[in-house]
Amino acid sequence: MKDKRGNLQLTESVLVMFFVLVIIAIGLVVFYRFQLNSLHDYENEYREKQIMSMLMTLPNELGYTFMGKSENAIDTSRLFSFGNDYGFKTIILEEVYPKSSEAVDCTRENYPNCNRFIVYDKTSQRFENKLVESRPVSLYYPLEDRFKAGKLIIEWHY
Amino acid sequence: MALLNKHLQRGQVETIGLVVIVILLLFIGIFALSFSVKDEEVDENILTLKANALRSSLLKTSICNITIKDEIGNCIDNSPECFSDCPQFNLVVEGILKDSLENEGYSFKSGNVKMGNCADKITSVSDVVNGQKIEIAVCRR
Repeated sequence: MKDKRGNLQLTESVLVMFFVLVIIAIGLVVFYRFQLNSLHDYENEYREKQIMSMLMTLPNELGYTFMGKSENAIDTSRLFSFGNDYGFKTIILEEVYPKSSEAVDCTRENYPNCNRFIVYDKTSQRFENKLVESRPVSLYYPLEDRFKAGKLIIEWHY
Repeated sequence: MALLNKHLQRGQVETIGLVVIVILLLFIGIFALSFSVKDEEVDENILTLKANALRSSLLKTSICNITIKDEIGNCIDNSPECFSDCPQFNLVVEGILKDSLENEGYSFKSGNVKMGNCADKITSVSDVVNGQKIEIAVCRR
């Protein structure tokens, strides 16, 4: 009789241990997934912050100043000598107005009769995804002394 | 005595079970909270940047020998310089606003002229031309 009761208690303890272990295992899996997700979130947030910081600072780096005063516009004549390394990104400046039917990439030869500047382009076949963000900018053409409406587009390849 | 011990043991196991359940519920609560309270600060900053950049870029743009800002002033007096009439000029402004933004909507207000519509928006720093306020905003995503 005592043996039977002992066996029953042992089985009960084993079952309890088993369920506790199952709960711990599920908890670990959930925790791991949560950590992984939050890591991806941090990664995305980091990219978004970096892109935002670039959108804010790039127009100043290439900015047009008149008598030392910033004109809040990008000097398009400076775009051909842009030599910074920004990692795997593509930086494009696109003219919005006057609007053209087709995009003509700017080179030293056809400038200013063009409407798109590929300022920086570094890609790799390893990356399949890209984060794209843009902001409106004013483009200054010193040869014509005119401001045109444009768009700064940054593509982050990852 | 043995019966009392057994009762005590069962009571302890039940208490431990209860504690485990409470801890599990706590964890679930923390997970749910961290998902619901998401940081939207970056999004907000990008939209503010876009709204101000849009205003600056639009008003500075050259048309014939003047800027869009000047032409808005001319249209307030109903005497456009670069266009035959103000509705034609408004179409150009609308085109620039639309093409300058990728996925966002916009709202433009200058006197009686209203373009675009936003339920919830982030407004740029406003500009005053001929005593009339120009308000440009980017819609929240």
